[in-house]
Amino acid sequence: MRAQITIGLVCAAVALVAPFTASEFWVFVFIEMLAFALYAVSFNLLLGYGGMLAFGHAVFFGVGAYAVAILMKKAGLDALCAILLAPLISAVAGAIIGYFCNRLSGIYLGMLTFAFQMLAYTVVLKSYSFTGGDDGLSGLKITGFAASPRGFYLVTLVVVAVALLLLWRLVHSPFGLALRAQRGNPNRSVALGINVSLHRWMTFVIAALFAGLAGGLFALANQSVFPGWLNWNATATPIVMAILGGMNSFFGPIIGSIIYVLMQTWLTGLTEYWALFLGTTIILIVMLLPNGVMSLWQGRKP
Amino acid sequence: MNHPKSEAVLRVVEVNKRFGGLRASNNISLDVMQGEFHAIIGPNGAGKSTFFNLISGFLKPDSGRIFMAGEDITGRPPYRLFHAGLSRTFQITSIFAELDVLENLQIALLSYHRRLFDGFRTARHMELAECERLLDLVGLYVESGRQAGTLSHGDQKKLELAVALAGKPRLLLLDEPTAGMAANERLEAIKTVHRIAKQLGVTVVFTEHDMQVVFSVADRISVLHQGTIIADDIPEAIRNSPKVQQIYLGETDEADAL
Repeated sequence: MRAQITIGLVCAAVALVAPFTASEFWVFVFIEMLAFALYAVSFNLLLGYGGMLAFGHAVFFGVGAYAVAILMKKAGLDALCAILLAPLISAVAGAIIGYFCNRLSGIYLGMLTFAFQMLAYTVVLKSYSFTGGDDGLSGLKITGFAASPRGFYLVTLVVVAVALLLLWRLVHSPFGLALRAQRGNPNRSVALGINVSLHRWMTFVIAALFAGLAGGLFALANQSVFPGWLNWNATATPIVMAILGGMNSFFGPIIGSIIYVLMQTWLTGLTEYWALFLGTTIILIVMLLPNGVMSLWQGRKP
Repeated sequence: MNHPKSEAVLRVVEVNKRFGGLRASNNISLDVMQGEFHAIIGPNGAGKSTFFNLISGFLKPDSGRIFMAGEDITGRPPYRLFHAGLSRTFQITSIFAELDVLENLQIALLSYHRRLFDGFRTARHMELAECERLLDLVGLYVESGRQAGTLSHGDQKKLELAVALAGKPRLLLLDEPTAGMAANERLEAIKTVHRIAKQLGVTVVFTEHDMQVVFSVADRISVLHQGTIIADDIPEAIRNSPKVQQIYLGETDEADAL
C-alpha cells in the first residue's frame, strides 16, 4: 500500500513537470500514456478485480473514440460536449454487451466478448458514409485552452487523474470488495446475498464508461479516429499492459502502459521489428515476475 | 406433529427433483419448527445434498412448494433467500480464501445491510465492531488481517459459521458441519454450533454422517433414503425404529451407533 502511494506520488510529480521540459512529440507521447493508463485500469477492473477475461475491451475504447468523432463531425457538437457524451455512449455499449456476458466465465466469456468486438469492428469498417470506413474520420478541431498540445495535455492529466481517483475509490469500496469476492468464490457470494450477475454487469458498464473516456481523449489527441482502434490487437493492448505492470494491483496497469508506450516509442524509432522486442519483454516478465513489474515493490496482492 | 403449523420456520411440501432417471428428491414433505436443531441423516446418495440445494435455492424443484416462516420461497435465487433470512454453509468449506478474515465478515455484513452497491466509501473501516463480535461468538481468535485461505481447517469452518451468522439468519443450513474433522474434534465442534444456535434462537437444519454427533445435539431427526423421508421424529424414536435400523444394516459402524 505504501509502495503504491509512493509510486503514485512520483508519477504525479513527473506528470506535472515533464511535458514542460520536453518537445511537442513527447507531449503527445505523455498524452498517449495517460489515455492508455486509464484504458488499462478500466480493463483491469474486469480482469484483475472481477476475474473476467473479457477479450473485447477495444469495443469500448473504439466506441468512445468514434462517438467523439461522429458527434463532432456529423452532429456538429464541440469537443467538450463530445467528450462528455462519449463515455455515456460507451457505457450503453457496455450495458448491452455485459447483459449477454455477465453469466459467462472463462473461455466462453472471452469468446463472446471477442465476437462482439469483431462485430463492432466490421460495422465500423463497412458503414463508410458514417464512420469513414478504412480511412476513419479526421479533422477533429479543438478550440480554446486545450487547442495547444500542452494545454490538451493538462486537461487530459486532470481528467485521467480524476477518473483514476474514482476507480481507486471504487475498487476499495464495498462494491469492489464484492467484486473481488465473487472472483474467487461465486457460490459463497450468491449464498451471502450478492447478486453476482448484476454485480458483474455493473462492472462491465463502469469499465466501458472509463474505456470510452480514454478512447474519446485519444481521439481528440489524434484529432482523428481509425477503425484499427476497435480491432483485436487494440484489445490485446490493455491485456499486455495489465500483464506487464501486474494485474493484481491498482497501479500495475498504469506502470504497464508507461512501459508499453515508452518501448513502442523508442523501438519504432530504432527498428521496424519493435513488436519482437515487446514480445520478448513480455515473455521475460511473465517468466521472471508473474505478478508483473509491480511485484518488485510488493510481496502480496492488495 | 403437535406444533401449530404457524410456527414452522421451514415448511417443505411434496417437493420433487429428478436428474434424468434418478429421483433425487421424491415427494419430500417436512416441517421444521422455530428454534429446532434438526438433523437430516441418510446413507451416501440418499439425496441430502440435493435436498439442501433445493431449500437454499441452488436448485429449483420440479414440483412442490417450500415456505420459510409462512412465505413461499420456491424457486427463489440464493441471493434473495439470504435477504429473507436463510444462510447456509457448504460441505466443502466455502470461504473467500484470497481475502483476509476481516473482509470475509465485512462482505457478509455489508451485504446484509445492502451496502454492497456503495462504490465510493472505503470498505476497510466498515462494520468493524460487528466483525469483532462475530469472531468472539464463534471463538475464532486469529489476526483479522490474516488471509482466510491460510487458516487451519477447523478455523476455516469457524469462519464460515461466523460469516453465515452475519446475515442474522432465521434459518441456518449446515451441510456436514464436521466434515473433514478428526473424530474427537467433531463432538466439540457441533456442541459449539449448538450452543451458539440456542443462544441466538436460530433454527438449524444440518446433515451429518457421524451418528454420535447427531444424537448428542439433534432435537429432531429426519431420515432420508433414496430421495424419500422414511422417518421424522425425536432422536429416541429414530434410534428404536426398525425401519431406520434396517436401512443402516449394511453400514455396520453406523448401525452400531444407533
